[in-house]
Amino acid sequence: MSLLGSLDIGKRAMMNQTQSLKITGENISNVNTPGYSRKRIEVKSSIYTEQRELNFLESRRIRDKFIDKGIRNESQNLGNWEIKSQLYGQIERIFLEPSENGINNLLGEFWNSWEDLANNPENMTTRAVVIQRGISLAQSINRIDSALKDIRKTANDYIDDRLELINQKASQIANYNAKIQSIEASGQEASNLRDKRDIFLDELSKLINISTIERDNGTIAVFIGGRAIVEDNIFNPIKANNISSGGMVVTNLVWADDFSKVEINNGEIAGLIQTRDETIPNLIEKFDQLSQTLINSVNKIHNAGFGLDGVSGRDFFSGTGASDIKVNDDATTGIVDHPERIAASQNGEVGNNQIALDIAKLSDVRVTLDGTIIDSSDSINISKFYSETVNSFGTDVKLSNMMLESVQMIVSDLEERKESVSGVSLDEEMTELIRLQKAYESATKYMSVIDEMLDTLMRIGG
Amino acid sequence: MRVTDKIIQERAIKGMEQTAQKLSKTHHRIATTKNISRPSDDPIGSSQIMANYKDLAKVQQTLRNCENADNLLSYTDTILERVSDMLIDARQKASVMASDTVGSEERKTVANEVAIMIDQMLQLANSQFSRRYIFSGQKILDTPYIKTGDNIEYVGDEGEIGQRVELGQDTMVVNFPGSRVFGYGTETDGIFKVLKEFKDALDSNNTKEINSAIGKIDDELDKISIVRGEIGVKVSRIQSSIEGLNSLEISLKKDISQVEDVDMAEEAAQFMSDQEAYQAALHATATILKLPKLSDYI
Repeated sequence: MSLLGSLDIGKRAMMNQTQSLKITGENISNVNTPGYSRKRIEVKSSIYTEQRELNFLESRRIRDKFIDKGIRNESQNLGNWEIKSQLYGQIERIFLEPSENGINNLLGEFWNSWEDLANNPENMTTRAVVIQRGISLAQSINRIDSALKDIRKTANDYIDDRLELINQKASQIANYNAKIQSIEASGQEASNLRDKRDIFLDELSKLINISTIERDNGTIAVFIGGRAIVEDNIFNPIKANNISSGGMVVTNLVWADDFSKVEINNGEIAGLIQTRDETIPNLIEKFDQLSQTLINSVNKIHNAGFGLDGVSGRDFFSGTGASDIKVNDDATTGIVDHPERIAASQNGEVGNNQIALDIAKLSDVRVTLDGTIIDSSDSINISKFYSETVNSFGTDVKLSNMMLESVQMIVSDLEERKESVSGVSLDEEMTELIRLQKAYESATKYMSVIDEMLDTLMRIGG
Repeated sequence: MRVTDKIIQERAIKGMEQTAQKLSKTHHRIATTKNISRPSDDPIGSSQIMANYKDLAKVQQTLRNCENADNLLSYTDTILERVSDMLIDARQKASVMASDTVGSEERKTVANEVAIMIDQMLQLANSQFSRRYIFSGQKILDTPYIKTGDNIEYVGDEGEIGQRVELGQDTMVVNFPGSRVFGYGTETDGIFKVLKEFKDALDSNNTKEINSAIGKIDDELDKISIVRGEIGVKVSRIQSSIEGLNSLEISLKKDISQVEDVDMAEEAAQFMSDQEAYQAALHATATILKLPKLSDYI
C-alpha cells in the first residue's frame, strides 16, 4: 500500500466524522420535535480493501416496529374509550342525579301531591300544586329528551369531522408513500419522511380501526376492515352517506368508489357510532317507555274520575312520549289552567278522594305501557325503572372511565418505551459529540503524520 | 431502560397532573360534602340513595297524612264530646221533669230550653273543619242538616273518606257520616227525633212520654260513645303509626347520610396528605428539571 493511498484513508476518516457530527447535530436540534426518531450512523470502521473501496456511511433512524404496532392497536382503543367517556360524562350530567332536581325526586313530589289532594280534595291550592308538580315532572322529562338528542347530534357532527380527518390523513400517507418510494429507490433511507408518515399513521389509528403492512418498496398499505384505504401512492377515499335514523339525518361511512359500507369496529369513529346509534337511542327509548307508562297509567285512572265540576273522562297528561309529555292544556278538557277539572273523586262527590288515592298508589305498583296495573314481566314500577335506567347508565360511565384509564396507562407505557428507543438523549449526544471530536482530532493527527512521512520521503529524493 | 430528557419531563408532568387531580377530587368532595355527586361515582350507592330518598318522601307524606287525619278525628271527637254533654244535660232534665210533682208551666219552660238545645245540636251537626263539613259524608261542601220549620233533615250521604295513614296501600276511614251520629232527622230517627219528641212531651205535659224519652236519650248516648270509642282506636292507631314513621324517617336519613355524606375528618386528613403529595411532586419536578446536563461540565 502506498503512502498516498493512506492519505485517502485519512480523508475518509475526517469525512466520516464530519458526517456523523452532522447527524448528532440533527439529533440535538430535533430533541423537542414531535415524532422525531433519533438517527445513528451505521458505523463501520473504514477499512482499506483490495479494491481500495472505502465504506460510505449511512444514517438510519432507530425505531422499534413492534412498539409502533402496539401503539397503533392501543390508540384505536384509546380513541374509542376516550370519546365514549367524554360523551357518556356529558349524558350523565343531564340526569342531575342524585339531586333535588332529578326526576327521582320530582316523581316522588308528584305522587305526594296526589295524596295531599286526597287529604283535601276540595282545596284549590292543593289542586294547583298537583298541576305544578305535573308540569315540573313533564318538563324535566322533555329537557332530558331534548338534551339526549342534542348530544346525539353532536356525536354525528363529530363523525363528519372525523371523516374529513381520516381522508386527509390517508391522502397524506399516500403522498408520503410516493415520496419515500422515489427517494429510497436510491438506497438511502428517507428517515424524516418516514417519521412524518408515522405521525399520520398514529393519528389515523386513533380515529378508526386500521391495519398496516409495510411493502418492500418502503410504502405502507393501510386497511380498514380488510379494504385498502391506502395502497402504494393510491388513496381510496371514504365518504358520507346520509340516511335518516331515529328522527334525524345521520352520517354513515361508505367507500367512495362502490358505496359499500366501511367496516368500523374501533377508534373514535366506532365510539361515536356506538354512542349515536346504540347508547343514546336506548336511553331515549327508555324515557319514552317511562313517559308512555306515566301518561297512560295516570290518564286511565284520571279519566274514570270526576272534577269538581262533575265532569269525567278528562286526561291529566297529554303527549305520546318523552319529547311531548305535558299536563293536558287542551282548550276544552285541559287541566293546566283549570285546577277544578282535576279528577279526585270516583263518584262526583267532592269529598270522595278515591281517584287521587289510586293515582298516588301508582308510585308503588307495577304498570304496563298501556297503563294497566299488573305484576308481570312487561310491567314496570315507574320510579324503579327510572332509577335502574340512570344507575345502570352510571355503571356504563364508570366502566368507560375505567377502561379509558387502563388504555391510557397502556398507551403511555408504550409511548415511553418508544421514546426510550427512539427519543433523543442530550447527554448521549454530548458524549457522541466528544467522541466524534476526538476521532476527528485523531484523523487529522493521522493526516499530519502521513504528511510528515511523505515529507521525510521527499527529502530522501532531494 | 434508556431514559431520555423527554421521558423525564413527561413523567414529571404526569406526576404533577395526577396529584393535582387527586387533590381536586378530594376538594370537590369536601366542598359538596357529598361522596356521590353522579351515579358513576358509585352506581350501587347512588341507586341505594335514590331508593332511600323515594322511601323518605313516602314516609314524610304519610306523616303529613297522619297529621291531617289526626287533626280531623280529634276535632270530630271534640264536637262529639259536646254532643254527649248536651245529651247528658237533656237526660238530667228529663229525669227531673218525669217527676209527678212538676207542673205543666215548669215543663213548658224546660220545653223552650230543649228547643234551644235542638238548635245548638244542629250547629254541632253542621260543624266545619277547615271549611269542610265533617258530618256530611262525601258531600263535604254541603251543609248536612237542613232545618225547615220544626223539621230537621239529613241531606248528606253515607260516603266514607279514606286516608293513607300507614305505609302500604291500605287507607283508614276518617269521617263519620251524620246519619251514623245524629240520625236522619226529626221525622225519621236519631238525636233530633228524640229531642223533638222530648220537647213535644214536655209541651203536652205527658209524663209517660217524658219517661220514655229518658231511655231513648240513653240509646243516643250509647251510639255517641260507640263512635267516640272508634275514634279513640283510630287516633291511637295513627299515633303508633306516627311513632313508627318517625323512627323510620331517622333511620332512612341515617342510611342516606352514611352512603352520601363524606366523613369530614377522613376527607380533611386525605386533603392534607394530597396537598403534601402535590407539593412533593412540584418540588421533585422543579429539582429534576434543573438537574445539570453533561454539557454543563464540558
